[in-house]
Amino acid sequence: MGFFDYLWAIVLGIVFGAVGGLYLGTAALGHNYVLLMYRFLVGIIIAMIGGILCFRQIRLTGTVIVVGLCLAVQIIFTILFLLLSIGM
Amino acid sequence: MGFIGKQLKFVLVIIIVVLLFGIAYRLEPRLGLVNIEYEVIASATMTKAGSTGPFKIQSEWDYKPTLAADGKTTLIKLKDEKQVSKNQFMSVELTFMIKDAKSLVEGTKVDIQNLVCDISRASANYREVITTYEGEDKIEEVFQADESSGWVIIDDVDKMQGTFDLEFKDFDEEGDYRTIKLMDGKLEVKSRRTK
Repeated sequence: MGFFDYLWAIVLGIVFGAVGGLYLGTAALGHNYVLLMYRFLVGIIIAMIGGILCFRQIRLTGTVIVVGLCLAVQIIFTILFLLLSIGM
Repeated sequence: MGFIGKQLKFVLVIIIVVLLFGIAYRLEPRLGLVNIEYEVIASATMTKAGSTGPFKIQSEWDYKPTLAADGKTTLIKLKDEKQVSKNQFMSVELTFMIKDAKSLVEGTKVDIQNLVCDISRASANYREVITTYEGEDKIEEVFQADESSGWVIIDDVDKMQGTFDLEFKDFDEEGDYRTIKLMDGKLEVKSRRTK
């Protein structure tokens, strides 16, 4: 795994996390927690699919970076949107 | 796979992931996670030749899907009325049928079962209605009003989305006529996600 593969793993993790985070955030804004759980699950599954699709290039380390970053960014977005929804 | 090809593969994966999120989003109503309410918005501008200026009919109807007995179709009736002169009213009623209402989404084409225009209260002399509508094909037809009821029923209009025009001709005994036009009639289906 070279420098560019690490870079791509980080980029993929952030991009997947941002898309998933916006997806989760809109559910958080409406305080629809069932929908939020569904979207959280979907976000993780799709991030894993993305990671697996690149597995030959980024190997297990890269996939862990992608899924981990995606999860972190999604949680940050969700918290931000929840705070926004209660007027903070 | 070369360097460029490898980078392109990552870009392709990003596109696939965004598409997957889109599919998951579209699945939510079918899984019962969100409810969707529909609004049918119809509007038209009515003009009368010789009057001081055009006036506008614009109405909004909230439509919540009520399925017919077959579980798929539903009827929407939109009605509006305007006073066109001191003693004359003009009311327009449009009836639309939505097929496969369960799959209704924003931008759905609305199938028209009947385009019904009530001109009975407008004037007994209104006898001819010309309608132009743009759907898959632009069609122009002339329909004669039913003298007993004053209703004009236009059948076999299918898949109209866009604008339609109606022109009412008011004939006098000498065969001259004035016109009332219903221009740029629009029908839109808008959806709104609720909890």
